[in-house]
Amino acid sequence: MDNQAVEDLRSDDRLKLKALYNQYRAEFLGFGKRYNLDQDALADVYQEAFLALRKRAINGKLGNIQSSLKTYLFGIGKHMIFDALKEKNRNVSYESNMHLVGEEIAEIELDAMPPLTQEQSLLRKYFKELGEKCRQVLTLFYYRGLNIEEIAQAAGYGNANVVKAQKSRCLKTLRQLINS
Amino acid sequence: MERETLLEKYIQGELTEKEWREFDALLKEDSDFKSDVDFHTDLKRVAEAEDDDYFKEMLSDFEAEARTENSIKKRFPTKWLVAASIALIAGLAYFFTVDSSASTQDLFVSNFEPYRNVVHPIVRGEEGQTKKTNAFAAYQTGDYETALPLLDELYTNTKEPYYLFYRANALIELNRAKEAVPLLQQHLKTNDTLVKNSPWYLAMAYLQLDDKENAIKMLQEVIKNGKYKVEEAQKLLDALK
Repeated sequence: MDNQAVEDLRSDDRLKLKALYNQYRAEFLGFGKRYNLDQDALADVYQEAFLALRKRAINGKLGNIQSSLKTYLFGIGKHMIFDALKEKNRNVSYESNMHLVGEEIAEIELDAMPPLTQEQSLLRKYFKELGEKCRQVLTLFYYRGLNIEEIAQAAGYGNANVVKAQKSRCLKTLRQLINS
Repeated sequence: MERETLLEKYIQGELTEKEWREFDALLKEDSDFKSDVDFHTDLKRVAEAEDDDYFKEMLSDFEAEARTENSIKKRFPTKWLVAASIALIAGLAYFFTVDSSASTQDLFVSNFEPYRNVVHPIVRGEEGQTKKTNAFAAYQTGDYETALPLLDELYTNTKEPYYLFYRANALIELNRAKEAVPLLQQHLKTNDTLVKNSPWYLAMAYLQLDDKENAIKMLQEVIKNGKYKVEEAQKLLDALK
């Protein structure tokens, strides 16, 4: 897998992410056409697949993948296209046109995220009330898995201690919101 | 090891085997520790959900931008496209260089496209006849005449700020930018996630109204925000000045 691209996926660099999005977009829309979905539906699938790809990158699950980023992305997308088709109850023979494809794309199924529990939904409400700085630090730490030093660098804090203090302040505020 | 450190390592998936044993033991013995773990685990999931939503919006912006970029190219007469690329470049220059003859109307027409429905995706064949579905189905198919009164009503009933944004988009498309301006201004004061897109559409509304001064102000705002349609705003601004 292309390490630079994986790195870009994990980043917050809008320009790089947009370049990556556009790099495969047209080809994916072309690839999806044979399944009789319109452009809007395919664009939605592409976005969903792209999000899934990024989540894998963030969770460090792309390191062991042998295939190229494109094959992997298209594989996820292909599975999602079939899901979309099943939902529409179209009796299309899915593989009937596959001989037209030069490169065989294998379907890749990813586990669906469980919906938020009641507690989590409530917590989310309070999370949204936090300031932007807090949300950023907590997101980088809890979801993106950056350690304190990495956060200091990524978010432009002077040093790790500032991040540490900021993080505990944010957690305190969050707990206060919950208990208020 | 300190509980705090143990917890943090757990959240970041970095516990060693020995630390796992310590962690498991604490989890069994200490109910306070357990509730701490639950809280941090929930927070991790919440941060993920929030970040995903943020990223989804970014992707839908990328998509909208890719479409406008393509459609600008498509709007040129075919014979120009067939002609030498020089003609194409000249054609693009017509819109995007310092061309004082480009009127605000021309610029409006070549830049405005109503924002995609990202609030309420419509799955075709799903005929749930709620008002919201009807409104967004009409919006999505370009039937703004039908969408508008439904969106008005939905806003009155729910006060969801995104309705302001979609109503404004429909109004601009129906050449009623004057009514769209106050809606977008109101939308800007909310904390709706679509707020980052509002300045661009406000600029579009001003262009339609031939109000160059305010259009420029809004485009500068778009560039300053650095989030949505930044490159487009810069090109437009150059063309306007």
